[in-house]
Amino acid sequence: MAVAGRARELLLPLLFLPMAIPIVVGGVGASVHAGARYFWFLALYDSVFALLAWASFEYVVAET
Amino acid sequence: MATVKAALPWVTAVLFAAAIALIFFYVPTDADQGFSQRIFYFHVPIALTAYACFGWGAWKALRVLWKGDEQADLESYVAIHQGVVFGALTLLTGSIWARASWGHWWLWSEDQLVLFLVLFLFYCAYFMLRFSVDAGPSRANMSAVYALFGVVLIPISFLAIRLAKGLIHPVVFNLQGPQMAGSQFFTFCVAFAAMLSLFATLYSVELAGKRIDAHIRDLRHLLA
Repeated sequence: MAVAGRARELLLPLLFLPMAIPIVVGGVGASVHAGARYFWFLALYDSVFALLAWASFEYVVAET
Repeated sequence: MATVKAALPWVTAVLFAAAIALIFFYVPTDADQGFSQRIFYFHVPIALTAYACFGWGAWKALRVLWKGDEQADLESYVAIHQGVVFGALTLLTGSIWARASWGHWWLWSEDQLVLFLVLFLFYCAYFMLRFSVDAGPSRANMSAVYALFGVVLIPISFLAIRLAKGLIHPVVFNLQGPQMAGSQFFTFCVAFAAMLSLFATLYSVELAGKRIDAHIRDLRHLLA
């Protein structure tokens, strides 16, 4: 239990910065350049990681 | 399988000899950058091999989660370890090339360089995660999820920086295919095959070593 908790706490800060970079690039692009492609990119990012997070959630949270 | 493994170092040696011969004696000197452009045939294959390592590691990670394959955890770890080694070599060769071609060892304004550094550090942090948790199925799952996030992050990040254009780092592969002459592309392919077989050799050697390690630990445990 304690071990799984420690690993879960570690996972968020390690994943946060690299995961945030595409959002920042997409968000800045969408606000600076008029055009749909940054919005498409953000939508792609959202759908891919929503799917991945949904699929992997159980393995991170479940006690094994 | 055993004969393939035994042949791997020799295949690697032959491919490397061929690649070096092609790079220095066959391929024409670049009109724009001169002799220093030849490092391209090391730098790009090393970088692509690093991605292949991460991809292989993620495939093994998927096996851990999907099939509950316990062997795959160690295989995933070894592949990512090799990927970090190739990643460090990519940064090194890229830096040398940048110095020769742009006059700077490193440019923070270049998105592709910074992005590769971030991905490299992301995979360095994999070891931080892995070695701060006790061995077991929970560590295997955690490492596998991390490896999968990493491999999805690579194309997404590259898509992001391709959208935001204006780079001086050359882009060789685009939607129109490789932007190279035939002789260059051939040399590149041989160099890439050499790097991939180097990865396969190092991977099988490290994996065998790690398995022997685990076996000895088990035996010690039994004796104690």
